[in-house]
Amino acid sequence: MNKLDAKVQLDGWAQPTLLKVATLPEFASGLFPLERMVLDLRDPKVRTAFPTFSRLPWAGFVVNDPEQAPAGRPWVAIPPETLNAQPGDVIEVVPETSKAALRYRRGANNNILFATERCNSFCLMCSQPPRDIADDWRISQICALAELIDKNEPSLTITGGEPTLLGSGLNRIIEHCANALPHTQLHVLSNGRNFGGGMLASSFTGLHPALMWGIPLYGHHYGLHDYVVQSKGAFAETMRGLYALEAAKQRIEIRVVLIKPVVEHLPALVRFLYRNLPFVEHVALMGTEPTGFARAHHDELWIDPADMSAVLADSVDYLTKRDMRVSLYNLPLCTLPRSLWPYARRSISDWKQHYLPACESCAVRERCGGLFAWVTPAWTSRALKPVLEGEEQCTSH
Amino acid sequence: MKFVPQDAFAGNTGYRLLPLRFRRLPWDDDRVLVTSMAGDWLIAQHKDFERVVEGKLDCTEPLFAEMEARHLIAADPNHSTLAPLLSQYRTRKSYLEHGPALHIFVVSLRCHHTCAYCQVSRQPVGNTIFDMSEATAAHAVERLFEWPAPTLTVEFQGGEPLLHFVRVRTLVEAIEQRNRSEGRTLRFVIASTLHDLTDEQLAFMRDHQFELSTSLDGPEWLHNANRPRPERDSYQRTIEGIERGRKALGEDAVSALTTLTRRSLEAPHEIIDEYRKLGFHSISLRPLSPYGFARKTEVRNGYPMADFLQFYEVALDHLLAINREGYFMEETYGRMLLSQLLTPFSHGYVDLRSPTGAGLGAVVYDYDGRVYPSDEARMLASMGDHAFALGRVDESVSAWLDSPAMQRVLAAGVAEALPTCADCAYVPLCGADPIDHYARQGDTIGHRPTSDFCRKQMGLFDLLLQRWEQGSATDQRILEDWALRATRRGIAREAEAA
Amino acid sequence: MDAIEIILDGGLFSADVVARAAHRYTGDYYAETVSTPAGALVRLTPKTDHVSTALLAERFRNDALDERLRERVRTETGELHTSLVRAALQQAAPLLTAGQEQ
Repeated sequence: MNKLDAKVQLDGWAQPTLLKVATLPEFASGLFPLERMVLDLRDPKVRTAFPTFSRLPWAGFVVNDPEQAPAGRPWVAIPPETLNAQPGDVIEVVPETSKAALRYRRGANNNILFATERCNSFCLMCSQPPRDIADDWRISQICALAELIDKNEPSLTITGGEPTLLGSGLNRIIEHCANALPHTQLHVLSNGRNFGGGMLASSFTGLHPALMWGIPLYGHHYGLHDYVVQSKGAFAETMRGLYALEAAKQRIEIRVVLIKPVVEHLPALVRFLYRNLPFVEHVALMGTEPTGFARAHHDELWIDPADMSAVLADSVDYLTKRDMRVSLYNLPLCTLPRSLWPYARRSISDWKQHYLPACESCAVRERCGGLFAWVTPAWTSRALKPVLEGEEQCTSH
Repeated sequence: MKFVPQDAFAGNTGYRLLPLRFRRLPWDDDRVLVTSMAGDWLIAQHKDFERVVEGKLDCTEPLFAEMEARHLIAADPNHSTLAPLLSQYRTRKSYLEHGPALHIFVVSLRCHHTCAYCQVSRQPVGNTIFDMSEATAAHAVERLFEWPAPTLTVEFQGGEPLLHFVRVRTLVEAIEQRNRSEGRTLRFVIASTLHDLTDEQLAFMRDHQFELSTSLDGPEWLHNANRPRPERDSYQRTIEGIERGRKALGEDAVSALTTLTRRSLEAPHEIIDEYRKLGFHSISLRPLSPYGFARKTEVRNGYPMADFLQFYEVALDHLLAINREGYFMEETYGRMLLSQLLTPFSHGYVDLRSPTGAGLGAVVYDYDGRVYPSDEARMLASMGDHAFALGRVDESVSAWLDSPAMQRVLAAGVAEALPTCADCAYVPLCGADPIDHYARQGDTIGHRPTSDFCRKQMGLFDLLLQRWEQGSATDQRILEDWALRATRRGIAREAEAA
Repeated sequence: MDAIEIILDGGLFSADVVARAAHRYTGDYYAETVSTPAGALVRLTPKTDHVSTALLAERFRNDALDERLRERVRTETGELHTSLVRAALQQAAPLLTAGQEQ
C-alpha cells in the first residue's frame, strides 16, 4: 500500500496550500498558473534548466533534500521514501503539522474528491465511518483542487460521507468541475435519500456534461435495506430519490455491497431492480472492504466469494439479458467462475491495492484487482490461489 | 457504534392491501396468480393468499417481503413508498405519452386475389375508383403531422398497394418533404402480396428503407387453397416476391404472417416448417376475425376459438422444439403477451392496450378520405356499419377526437373499467377492444363469458404462463428471449397483409 | 341437459358475490339465482351437450369463495386504486384531454 501523506521538511508556507508538482511539460502546457505550481527539482533535467526558470513566480520547489532548495523561496522536501509525489500530481503542504499529502495522482485508477465526513446513514459495513463535524470548508478546497487537476483526467469520484449534506455546496463543486474539467467524467457516490422531496434533483439537470450518481440499494424491501444502512425510512427515501433523479434526467448507477444478508436475497434484488429501476445505467456488485465498521461485524457480514459463485452468475446473467450493464468490483479473479471474469474490474484504488504472497505466481495477476491492503485471513476467500498458466482461458462468456 | 438488529427494522408489522387481482391456475387450482395494478406478479398457494387478504400474513414470512416487493401489499407507510408502483404503472402505460404512432394509408382496394377470408372487401384489378386520390393523400399528410408522436410508422395497405404504387410514391415524397421541418423519425412499411414487384418499385422502397410485410399461409398447397388467384400460383409469386425483396432490401426487411383458416388449423407443424425452410425467424399465427368476407364465409372457413387455442398449443410446442435445436423463431403475438408477463415495459402493438389503441395509438386513412381509429372500424364500414368512422381527412384531428365515434370507443376503451375485465388478473397486461366486441357481440362493452376476444386472450396467457412456469430451464430461456427481444423494438405493429 | 342446483350459505356469501360467481358461468350455462331461507340457490343449465359438468358444484363453490375474496379486496383498495391511477397518469395522455379543450 502506498501512503497518501507523510511528515516532511518544508519552509515558506503560511497555511495549507494545494500545489501542482511541475516539470518542463507542465510548464510548457500553460494550463496552470505558475503561482500554484511547485517546480520539481528532484528531476535532473529540471535542475539543468533551472537557471532559466528560477526567477519565474513558482509557488515553490520540490527537492529531495533541504540543501537543494533555492535560497529565499518556499520549498518542500519529498524524497522517494516519504511520499510518491510525481509530476502532475497535486499535493497539499500543511505547515502546521509539517506534512505533505497527495490530493490528486495523475494516472491513478481512482481519484477521490472527499466531500464530507458527515452522513445520514450508518451502514453496517461502512468503510468511512461518519463524523458529525462542520466541514463545509471542503467545498472551496475541492474547487481549488479541481483547478489543478489534469484537463485530460478521464474521471473523478466525489464521495464522503454523504455529499448531498453539503447542500448547494455540492452544486457549486459540480459546476466548478464542469468548467475546469469539461472532459472529465464525474461520479458522485450518494445514498440518494435527500433527492426525494423538493427541487434538489432538478438543480443538477444540465449542470455537468458527464455526471453519474452511484447509489446503493441493499434489498428488495425496506426490512432488509433499512437494516443494512441502519436507518429507518432509508429505503423509501432512496427509492423516491431515484425517481426524482430519473425525472431530472440524471444518470444512475446502483451499487450493491455483497455482504451476507444481501447476497442471501440477491436474486430478489436484481429482479426488483429490473422491474422498478430499469432505467439505471449500470449495476455494480461489490466485494466488501474490510475496514471501518465492517471489521466489527465480520460474522454478520462475511460470506466467502467462493460461496457466491452460483448466485453471482445467475444475477449477472439475469441483468445482462435485460440489457443492464453489470460490473463486479473488489473480487479477485480466482474467487470468480471464469464466465464472470469479463465483468470483473480492477476497482480497488491502487494506493490501497494489495496482493498476497500466493499471488506472486498467478498467471492473471495483471488483470486482477487484487485485494484491499487491510485484508486479514478472516476476510480472505478460501479459494484464493494462483491461476496457473493455461488455466486462464475463459471457457465461456 | 451499537448496531441495531434486523427485526428492529420491520416497522409496524401490519399491512394494507394494494390494488390486486388474482386467478386460480387452470393447471393447479391450489395456486393462484396474483397481479398488481402495474402488472408485476407472483404465484402463491391459494390458502396463503387467503391469509394475505384476511390480514393474517406474518411479517416474518418470506411471502410478506415478496408481496411487498411487487407492490401487492404495503407495510408500514412510514417506511415504505408507493413511488415504485406509480413508476411501474407509468412505464407499463408509456405508450399514452405520444399519441398515435401507427398511420395506415389504404391506397387502393384493388387486388388480384379472391381470398374467401378477405377482411378488406377488395375490388377487382381494374376498378380505379377505389384508388386513393391525390387530394385525399395531400389532406392525409396534413393530418398526419398534426399528431405529436416523435416516431411515425406509415404503413401502406390495400387491397394490393402495389397496384396503385404511384400513390405510395407521392405519399412518401410528400411526407419526407414535410418532415424536413418536423424532424420526426419515420418508418415506412408496406403490407403487400409482393406479387409482380417491378425493379422500380423495389428500388424506390430500398431508397426509403421500407419494411415489407407479406402473407404466407404455409406450404404451397395450403397457401394456394387459402389465397386463390386466377393463375393459381399465389405461393410461387409470393416466394419470388420474398426473395426479390430480401435481395434488394436485406434479409431482415421482409416479414411474413399467416391467416389461419379451418384448413390451416390442421397443419401447425407444416406451416411452421415452411417458415423455417424459407429462413424466417418470426411467424405470426393469428386467428380469423369476423370482418369483411370472413364473416360471409364463416361457415366454411371459420372455427371456434377453442380450436384455434388447441392449434396454437401444438404450434407453440413445435416452435419450442425448433428453438431448442438452435434455430431461433418466435411467434409475434405470443412474444407480445410474454413481454407483458416477463417485463415491466409497454409493448409497441396498438391491438392490445388499455386505454384502447384505437384512435389513440393508430389511425387509418381510407382510399376515399374517410378516417377510422382502427382497421377493424374500417372493415365494419365496408360492411355497411359506419359507427366508428371518425370523420374525413379534410377535417381537423381535434374534430375526430370529439366525434361520436371516438367517444363511443373511449367509453368502452378502458379494460380496467369493464365488467369482468375489472377483476381479471391479466387486465394490467391485456387490453380493451371495443370495436371487436361491437362486431362480434353487438355492443362495445361486451359480455366477457361469451367473448371470443376474451377466450383467446385468457387462453393464450394461461398457455404461455403455464409453459414458462412449468417448463424446463431451456424452455424458460427461450420464452424469456422472445419477451426480452420484444421490448428492445420501437413502436411497431405487424401489418395486416393484403 | 338437466340443470344442476347449488346452494350457497347466505351467511357466507352475499347476493353480490353469488351474482358475480354465476356471471362467470354464463358462457356455457344459463344461470338463474333464487333466494331461499338456506341461502342462494343457483341453477345452472348447460347450453349445449358439449359442456362438461364434471365437478361443477365444487368449481362453482371455489369461484364463489374467490368472489368473496375479491369483494374484500375491492372494499379495501377501491378508492386507493382510483387515486393511484390518477396520480400516475397526471403527466401522460395529453390526447385524452385534447378533444375536451374546445
